[in-house]
Amino acid sequence: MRLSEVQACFAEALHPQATATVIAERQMRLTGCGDMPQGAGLAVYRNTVLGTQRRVLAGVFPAIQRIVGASCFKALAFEYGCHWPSRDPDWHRYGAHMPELLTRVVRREPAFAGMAYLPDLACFEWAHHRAYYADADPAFDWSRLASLSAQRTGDIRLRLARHVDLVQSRYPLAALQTGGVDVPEPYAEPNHWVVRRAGLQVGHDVVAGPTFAALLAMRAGRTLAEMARRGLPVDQLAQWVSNGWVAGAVWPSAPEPGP
Amino acid sequence: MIQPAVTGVGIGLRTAHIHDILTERPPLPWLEVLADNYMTTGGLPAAQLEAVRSHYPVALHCVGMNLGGVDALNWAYLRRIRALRDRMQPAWLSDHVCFTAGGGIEHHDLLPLPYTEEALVHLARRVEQVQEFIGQPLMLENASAYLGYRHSTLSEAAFLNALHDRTGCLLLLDVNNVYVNQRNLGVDGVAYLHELNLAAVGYVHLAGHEDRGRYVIDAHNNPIAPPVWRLFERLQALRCDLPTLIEWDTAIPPLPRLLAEANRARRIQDAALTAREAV
Repeated sequence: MRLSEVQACFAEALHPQATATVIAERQMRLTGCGDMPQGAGLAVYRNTVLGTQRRVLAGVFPAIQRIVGASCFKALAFEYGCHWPSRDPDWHRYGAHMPELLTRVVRREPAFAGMAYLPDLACFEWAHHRAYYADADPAFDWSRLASLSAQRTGDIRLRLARHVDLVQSRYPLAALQTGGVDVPEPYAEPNHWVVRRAGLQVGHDVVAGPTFAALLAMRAGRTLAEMARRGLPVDQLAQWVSNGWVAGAVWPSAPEPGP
Repeated sequence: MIQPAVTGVGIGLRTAHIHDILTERPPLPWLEVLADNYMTTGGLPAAQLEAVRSHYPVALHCVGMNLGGVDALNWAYLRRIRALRDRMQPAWLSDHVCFTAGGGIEHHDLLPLPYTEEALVHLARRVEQVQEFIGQPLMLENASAYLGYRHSTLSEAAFLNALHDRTGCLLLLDVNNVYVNQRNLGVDGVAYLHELNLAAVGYVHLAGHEDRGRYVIDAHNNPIAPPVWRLFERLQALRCDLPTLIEWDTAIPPLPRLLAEANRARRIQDAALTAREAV
């Protein structure tokens, strides 16, 4: 049996939806024994893989698990694994699609009626998780900014720090995250959060709509001039850098025109 | 004979113990760090690891190189590991003799390889590629297993010896895994120690397991079991100068309990050394 066949057999048996028949058949091919004399075998690996996946997701989404309960979360994690298997050896990058899964589940399952806030809460928890594990950024290069003319400054595309994420919702996500509210009433207007790392601590700041729109524009790659034309508060740049939200820029590549 | 970069009995660094380790500074000769938890260059994990490193020598232990896998090597992952190695300057960099991914999907488990010439050639080629990329020999650990392949043609020890011969990699001998495989697969643990090229071993792992009656799980969730201690004592008769590391990954006890396990391992090594010197 070739090494590639061995590993394909394992992969088929470890798939979340593999049937008992498939698992036994694959084990027979690998070991010559459908039921290991010692009782171990592929079932042990399946339990480990699925259990680890569930624990990882529970670690990223503790508030979701608290709200839906452990057994329901187990089913969510299983469904998650069916649709989005891990494709990165770094476990800390696993879970980005939980909002998408919850959107489907809330629409599909009557038991989730009244829990339309779950996808937004998952976004919020994922943003905190990402902030915790984000790589460091270099310090913002003020001297380079100062060396540019006003016209050239407008061509800059600012970059959000890697630990920063932007979340908006009509629900009180911060209170839901900490368990401070059971049945949330939606706000009339969405709240805006910047989820970020400040020093070594991960947290979030509530920001005004225009600031949030500016940060969204920045994330979309708009230049400072484009942001100013849209009436976004680019005069807050120094504050954003000071907060650690802006970590760099795509600088204009052409040289400054001569005098 | 491999000359150890550090000596003595260390413990695996776990998040639950970092505060105690940094404030109490227990007299540990070294710590093993699970590299995959510290690949980020920012935030609390990076800062904590840097603080720990300023007080202790460390070894980096990886679980994601997928050295035995048939997928292409994940160079993005390896670049992050190399960058971490550059920052931490560890005594050793290790992973496992196993595969962890296939078809682009990460299993996040240490899955066993068949011990065949084909697997050996494949693994040796990838180990050499990674060693060249990293710029140092890897240390590779024998994995626990819950099934044995019917088409394996080599013993695990012979497979590891050949891997060392072909690549120059070092071996990380997990004594608990030897015992787990003895229970699960009928491998004779003592014979294994005699067959393995102990001169190629860089350091030793000791850990607890979960006994399910008919088989055992390499869960690292219990104290080291008596038969594993006995196997460790048998190892001392063959080689008693190997740096040793206590692993405890789930149901993690307070730090003093872990240090007690380390002290026990040290006493066994000291006794073996004294006995050898007396002879």
